[in-house]
Amino acid sequence: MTEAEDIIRISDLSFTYPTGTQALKNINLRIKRGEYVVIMGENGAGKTTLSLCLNGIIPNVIEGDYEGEVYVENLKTTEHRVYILAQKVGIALQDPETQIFCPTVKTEVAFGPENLGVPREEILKRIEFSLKVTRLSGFEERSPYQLSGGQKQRLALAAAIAMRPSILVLDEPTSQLDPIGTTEVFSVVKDLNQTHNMTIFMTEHKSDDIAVFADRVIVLKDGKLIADGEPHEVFGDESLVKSAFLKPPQVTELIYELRKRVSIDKVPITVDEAEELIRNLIMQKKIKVKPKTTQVTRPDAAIANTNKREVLIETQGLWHIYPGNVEALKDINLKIYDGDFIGIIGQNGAGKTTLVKHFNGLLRPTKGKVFVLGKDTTKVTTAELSKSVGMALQNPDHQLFATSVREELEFGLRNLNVPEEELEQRIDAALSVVGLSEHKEDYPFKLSFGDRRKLTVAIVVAMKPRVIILDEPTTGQDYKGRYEIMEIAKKLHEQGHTIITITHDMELVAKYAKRIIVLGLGKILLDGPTSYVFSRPDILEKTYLKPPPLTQLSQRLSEYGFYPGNLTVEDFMSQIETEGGN
Amino acid sequence: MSLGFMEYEAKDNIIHRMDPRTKLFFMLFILVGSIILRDLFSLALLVLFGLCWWVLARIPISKLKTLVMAIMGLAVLFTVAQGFFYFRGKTPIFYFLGYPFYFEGLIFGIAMSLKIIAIITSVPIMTMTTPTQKLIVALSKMRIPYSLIFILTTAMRFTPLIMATYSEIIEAQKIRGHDIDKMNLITRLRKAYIPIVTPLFISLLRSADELQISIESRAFGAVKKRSYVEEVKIRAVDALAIGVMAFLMFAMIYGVILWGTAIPQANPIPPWLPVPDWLREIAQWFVFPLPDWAKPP
Repeated sequence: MTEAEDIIRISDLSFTYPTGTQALKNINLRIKRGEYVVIMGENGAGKTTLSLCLNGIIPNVIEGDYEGEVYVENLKTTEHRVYILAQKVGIALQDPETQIFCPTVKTEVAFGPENLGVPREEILKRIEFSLKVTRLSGFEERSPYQLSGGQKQRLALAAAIAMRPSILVLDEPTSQLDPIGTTEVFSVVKDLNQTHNMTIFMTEHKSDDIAVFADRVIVLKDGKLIADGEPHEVFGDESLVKSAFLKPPQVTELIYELRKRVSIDKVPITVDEAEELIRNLIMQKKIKVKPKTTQVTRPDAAIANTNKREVLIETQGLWHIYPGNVEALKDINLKIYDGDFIGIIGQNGAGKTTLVKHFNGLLRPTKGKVFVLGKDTTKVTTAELSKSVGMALQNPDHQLFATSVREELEFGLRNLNVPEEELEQRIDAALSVVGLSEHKEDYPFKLSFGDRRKLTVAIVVAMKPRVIILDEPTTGQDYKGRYEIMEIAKKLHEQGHTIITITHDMELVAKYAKRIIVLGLGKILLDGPTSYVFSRPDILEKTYLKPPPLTQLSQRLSEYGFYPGNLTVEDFMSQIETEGGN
Repeated sequence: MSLGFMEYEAKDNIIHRMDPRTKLFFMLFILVGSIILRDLFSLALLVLFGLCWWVLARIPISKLKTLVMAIMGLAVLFTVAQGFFYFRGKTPIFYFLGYPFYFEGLIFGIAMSLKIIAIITSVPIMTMTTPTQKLIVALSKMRIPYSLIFILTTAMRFTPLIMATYSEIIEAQKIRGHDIDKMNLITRLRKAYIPIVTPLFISLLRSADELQISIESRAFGAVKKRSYVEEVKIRAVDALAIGVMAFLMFAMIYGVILWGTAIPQANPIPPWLPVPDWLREIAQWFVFPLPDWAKPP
């Protein structure tokens, strides 16, 4: 009876790519109909490979050394063509751009059933259902290329659902999306699971979000399945989480510390659960709240001592209007000081990238002025500005073309007429800061994605600019990758560079940035020290952002004296006093 | 470098409502005409015919102007070259640096330019009035294999993406001091494009890989008889248009065989054909003897 209920049965699955990488080692897994399963693990652990095994893409389309068996809806994946399996397993991948290729939303959703020869009336019904369930009804005649990131991903889901699968496989569906897009996608998936009983098999890094929905969490490391259990169990196991380089929910990280001092039964994984726990502990007098010793309540505190610090970049009445009258930036006035570590946050379309492109000359103001190191940017070339303001772009693969890491770095330096004698030394220094010294002679595309990102940072560092901008260094990255990049940024900051980073990861930016600029629809909504900004959820809401989970927790418990600007576990713990002394 | 002037714009008029196949036939008609016709008057009529479609499709004249301006340079160059070098040139109009510029060459040059103009202006009639999804169904009804149709539509889908990636790469390399806009021609040809083209190609190959996974996962090629959710239907207006063009095409070919021009030089109805007199009279109206200078070579 149990065997028949298993909608997915994986036995002793191993797979090695033709390049020699063994991606999966002896995986055994059974999933029941209607389960919501989340697969976690660092990049390279085998999550995508496992996903592609479920609908037969591996081994039918992607060849390699395949051992073991995978059954979906009692069909063995090696014995059926992909198009048969595709009617049982729908798949949605990371990048919305390459999954969508039809002229209209309607034809995109129809593509699958059309390929199967489904009669027209039936296809129309399926389209109606798929669009309803992904909340895209009414978008039929729209061009998919004008949709937002979140809408595009939902379209990819709708297209998968039109095949009428009973299982939905999603491979990091929100990694390229902003917070709204992420919420939209998770919400739709939750509906599909709870209302339509679809079995969900999703790989993700964002534990805070999935903690609410997942029935089961599976952890992969180096191709092996090292944990399989209920979310509270898995996240509660600190040594497991650390060894697999997972990012547990921030409230759970708090508990890792708290339970060293107070005994705790059930580990909370959501803000709600954590709130309940803390309230109980306070009521049971097991913990007491200490007032916060240093508070940052004034917005200008980050700009303290600024009359002693040099203004590196200044904008005066900056407007940027794209063709078609799109007002991307409206009257921006700000100053960037030497030694700042700034995080720029805001929803997609708020103007973050547009703003920073004015700092290195990729864009020039439509109205107003921008000054870099005192010079008006309209009077300086982009190449000249790049000597003072370096930028590591979102997509590292847009820059790499050389046959070795060393050559990549030499390229930029030669363009800036750096003398030959200095090249070697600068290259070595840059590679050492980012931790890629051992890859100096390697072919850039052989590096992992995370390493290629680090390479683009090295390219910038070698040019020795005073200001370094990191444009969304976190998309497509796992937990380890994003923290490594930020640690590099921290090192560079300590060496004297001014850092500006754009990101959607609130927890990350809360931990590293000293000053936050919040953009919403082209305007600056808030500009101040990190704690201050995150203590204003009312303003953050306007651009659909939420403070990090622990900050939210502190705000909910503010009646007990928790400081609403707490950002990290250390902050929170500094306010906790337990019995038997500190 | 945007192809914006050729993209589909939704409107409601006779041309927009036509079946894509009719418009494809129109393009074929223009193509055949520009190949077989050689004299100025016939070609002028052909271009005029094409312009009627522009007017009916309510495409703004500004788009026509942009298109023609782009070709104008080439047309003028061609005409000038023919003016000086046309081997049948006899009548000089003026002299430049002692070299004669011939009238016959001028006429010939204009005629050739009209050929190019006719073909190029026929394309937007198709692209600006036909949504891609209708074109796909129309092509499938013409028994063109779906794989070929898919190649065409994927190319159309990816072209803007490739151009966007190209711009992004140019920007990305600019901030490394590699500014191709600021390089002179020689430097440009020698080394500007490798750092642009390499990442571009790699990103294309990657996209192709991912596209493959997407389409396989959605049963591409599963079934021989693929269904289509969009519909196209030949209606009265299409039958009429195709009928008229078919007749005109026949008339063109007939005329070129008999007189070298589409414009009848004698009564087109042959004497041995039994037709009523009133019909022969009507046919006579279309006879227009070409002046000597306008005769096809």
